[in-house]
Amino acid sequence: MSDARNLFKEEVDVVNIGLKSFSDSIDNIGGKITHVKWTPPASGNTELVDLLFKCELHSEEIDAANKEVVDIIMSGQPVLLAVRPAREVVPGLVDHMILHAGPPIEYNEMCGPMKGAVVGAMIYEGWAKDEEEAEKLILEGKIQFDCNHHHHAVGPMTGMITSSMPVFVVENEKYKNRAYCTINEGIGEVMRFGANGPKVIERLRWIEKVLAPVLDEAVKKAGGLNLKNVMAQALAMGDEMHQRNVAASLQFYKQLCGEIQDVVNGKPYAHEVIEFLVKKNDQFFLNLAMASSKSIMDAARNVKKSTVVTALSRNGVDFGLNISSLGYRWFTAPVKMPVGLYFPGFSEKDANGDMGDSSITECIGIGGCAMGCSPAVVNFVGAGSVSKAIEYSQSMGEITVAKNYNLPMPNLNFEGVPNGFDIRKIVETGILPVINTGMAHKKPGIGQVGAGIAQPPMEIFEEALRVFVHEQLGE
Amino acid sequence: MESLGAIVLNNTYRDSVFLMKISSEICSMEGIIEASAMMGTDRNKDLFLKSGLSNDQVKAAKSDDLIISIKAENEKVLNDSIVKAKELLSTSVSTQNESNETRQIKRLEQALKEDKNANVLMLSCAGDYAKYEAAKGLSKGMNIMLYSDNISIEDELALKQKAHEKGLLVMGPDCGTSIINQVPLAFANNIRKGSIGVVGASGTGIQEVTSIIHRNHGGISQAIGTGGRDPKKEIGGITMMDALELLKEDEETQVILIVSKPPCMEVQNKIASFIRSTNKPVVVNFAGNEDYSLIEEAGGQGFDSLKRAAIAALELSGLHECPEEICTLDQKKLSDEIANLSQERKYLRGIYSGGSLCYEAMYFARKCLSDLYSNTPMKGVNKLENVRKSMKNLFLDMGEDEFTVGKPHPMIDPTEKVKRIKQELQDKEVAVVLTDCVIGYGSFEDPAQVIADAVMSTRKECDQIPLVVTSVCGTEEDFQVYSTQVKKLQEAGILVASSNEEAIKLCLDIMKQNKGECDHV
Repeated sequence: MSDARNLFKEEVDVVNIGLKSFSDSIDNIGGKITHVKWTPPASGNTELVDLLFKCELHSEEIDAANKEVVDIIMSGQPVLLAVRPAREVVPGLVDHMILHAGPPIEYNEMCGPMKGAVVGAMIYEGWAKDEEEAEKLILEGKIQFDCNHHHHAVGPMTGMITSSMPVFVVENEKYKNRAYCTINEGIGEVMRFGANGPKVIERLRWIEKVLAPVLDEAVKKAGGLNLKNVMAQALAMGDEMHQRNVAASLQFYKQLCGEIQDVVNGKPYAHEVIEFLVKKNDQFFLNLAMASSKSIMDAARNVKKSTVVTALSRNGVDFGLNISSLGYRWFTAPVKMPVGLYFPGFSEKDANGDMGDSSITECIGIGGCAMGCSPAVVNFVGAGSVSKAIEYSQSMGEITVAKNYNLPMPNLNFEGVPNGFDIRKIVETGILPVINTGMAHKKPGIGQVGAGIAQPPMEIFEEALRVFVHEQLGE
Repeated sequence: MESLGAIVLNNTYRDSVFLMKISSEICSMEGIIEASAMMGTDRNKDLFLKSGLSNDQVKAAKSDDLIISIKAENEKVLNDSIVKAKELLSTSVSTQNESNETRQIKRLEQALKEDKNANVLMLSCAGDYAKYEAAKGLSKGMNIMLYSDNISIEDELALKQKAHEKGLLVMGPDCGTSIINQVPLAFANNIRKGSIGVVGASGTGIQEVTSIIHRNHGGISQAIGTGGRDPKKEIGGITMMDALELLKEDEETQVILIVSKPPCMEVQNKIASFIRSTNKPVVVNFAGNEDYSLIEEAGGQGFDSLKRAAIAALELSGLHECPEEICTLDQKKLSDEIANLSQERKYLRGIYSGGSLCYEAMYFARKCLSDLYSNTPMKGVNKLENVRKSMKNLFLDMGEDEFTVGKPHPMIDPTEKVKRIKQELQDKEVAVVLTDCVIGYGSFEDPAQVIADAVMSTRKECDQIPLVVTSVCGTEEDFQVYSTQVKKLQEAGILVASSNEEAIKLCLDIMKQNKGECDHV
């Protein structure tokens, strides 16, 4: 920080944007000069630059609001308290209501996998016996739909939540708000990818009747479990906790192994429960990372004049964005296709559009933001090389407000993960958040076909900036 | 058959200076009528349209597309020039790639990561973007040197209010010159350290007074440019008044010199109160203003020429004017030359690169010449409708937008200005051609030589050419070297005066002797 009053007493130290000859003149007399190899902000779009200019005239207020938001994000303490049926705990979730991933969407607008999951959820709940009956009920208006985010909840891929499904209850201890997410179903034919056959329903019932009560009891015996510590440890073990959760899932089990052992001891399902948690599902922790992220991001909502992203979410058709100062106002545009690697036998023509609430993890700085310290995930998500993955993390630093020192990346000299996407910086630099994601088959029930990187459409950030400038700055 | 063609490169960015270089290189090719390389912003596309260089391809380009549009005498020339343009573009890519590896500073934020003590942000990119970079610089606590123009007065006000609140300066927009702690910002001369503090709303105005001070053995503490609109009512002299307060507090500053077009009454009153508030003597030059009673009543001194204001400041700093012997004239030879001018030669043409110098010359000319035209008219001067076509007595500021769009400022690249000088030299109705020769940091490496070349080559081609008058704005310590520039001009038979004021007065004197015009020089 300078002040013109001191300028005459200080060494003049110039940053030059524009004519190189002006830099050369200063360089020639031995003056201090940094020449910027500049390109126009916002790809030269003058309407957007004008919006950014207006923001910059209010930068003190916006920066203060954004600092408040990232302080909230960084000080969040997600604690797993219980595992309960959704109907008991998820606010506003009534009977015959289906919550889904992404911004709000009508049933007839949904993509194939999400429609499949809706039918599956209705069969699971006993509201319909098959697809035909399910669609009839929907057509008659007997089923209410809403998005998870409106109920402090999140869900991966199709993200179904209905009343009987057990959910993790995660409390942000610091701000006393709670968030909810279902239990990860494992791999193969699963509802989150739109499958709805008997095996899917059967597994969901097992989760409901067997697994959830075990976890609930174990968590309560342990007096709750601080998930942030699990996350920090997992980060140091090479997980970014969106695409890779091997270490986090093991850490989770490690923290509760005694309590779980006490609960299942002598029970016929003991073996099955332990194997499900530890052996069969490397992504088990993803849903806990999501609930944690949601509990952290919900606390950061509704800070006036903040331009920080509080939710990134996709329903397979549209990509939705919330920013702190504009509450639950959704900014949406069609999702883009993820880019990455396909499992053998599949190609991009099989893939569904980007889907799921899991991009809430990027909002707190894990997932794509932390790719640099997750070397194992690099090829899977198509980053190509470790150095490229580190570049991803560093480029996320260009569009975020702060570094979260509570979540350090060991191989980046323990720099904190990039924290708090700022829509101003996204629009200015043209750098989009990077989301590590799985890819669903566009036909319901087939499941995951690959994994890679998804990016939100730029328009949602541009539109949010327009509305922000108009409503929050009154310009 | 005239032929128009364009190349549009999608998502390709080059900075405007680089593109100007391409524009001028293509323009200089044989058979090219007009050519321009610019990014495809709406503003630029409009300019393509206005200059007859637009076609469907140009219209369809997006703001991050690079456009090169060329009008040539025939298709063969056009095709050759397109090949050349592509070549010019590709050489840039390889050199840029090389340097990119060594340094990757592409944004202000990245520059500040490397250089945490940076306290001045200098901007000469397009105004639409420069205003945003300026606002960011202010947020980060930097003073702003804003050479860029095309920034609305509302945005200028917003920037200056923000700067004022934070105790920072916004020098500009459209600010050509500042010298802070001996460091030249944009166009500036090599001026020794001294006790005169300068605040100027005009770029070449600052260059002229600081150079005169230096050539007379004086020196400056600081020279702070404000941008031409600062003293207008809408801005209220925010930068000017903040800069004056800084000079008042500055121990090294003993005398304060203000150069500007006449400020609005409100700002004149502020300046008058400022004069009353300080013990330091204040000298002002309000270009085109004759009434300095307000300033004088407050205890200041006012002069209607840059030269005399500079000399007054010099004397207040304890020094005296020394005659510039290098610029003496052979009066007898001059009288003969005037007598030899053919009958139909009756007009004066002032072709300038420096806006303030042009304005000052026009001010003096207005007092005695009628039929006066200019692209930047003041009261009593007619607006020149077609800037390409000269009319009667003329003052042309070639640093104005209509000449600099897509091309470098004539102080950086005098090609267009010299072309125009040549055009005037060939005009049989012209008696005197007046021009400026501004040297210093940022300016062309040898402006005297190109003017001298134009004069000498035209003299060979024509039976008679008009008299040519100029003055050199700069110092012996400038890299172009004042005395070298003067000699080159004199060797070409050009009359070199020791200041812009003396140059225009010499012209008016010639006009008077020639036609009996101008009674009260």
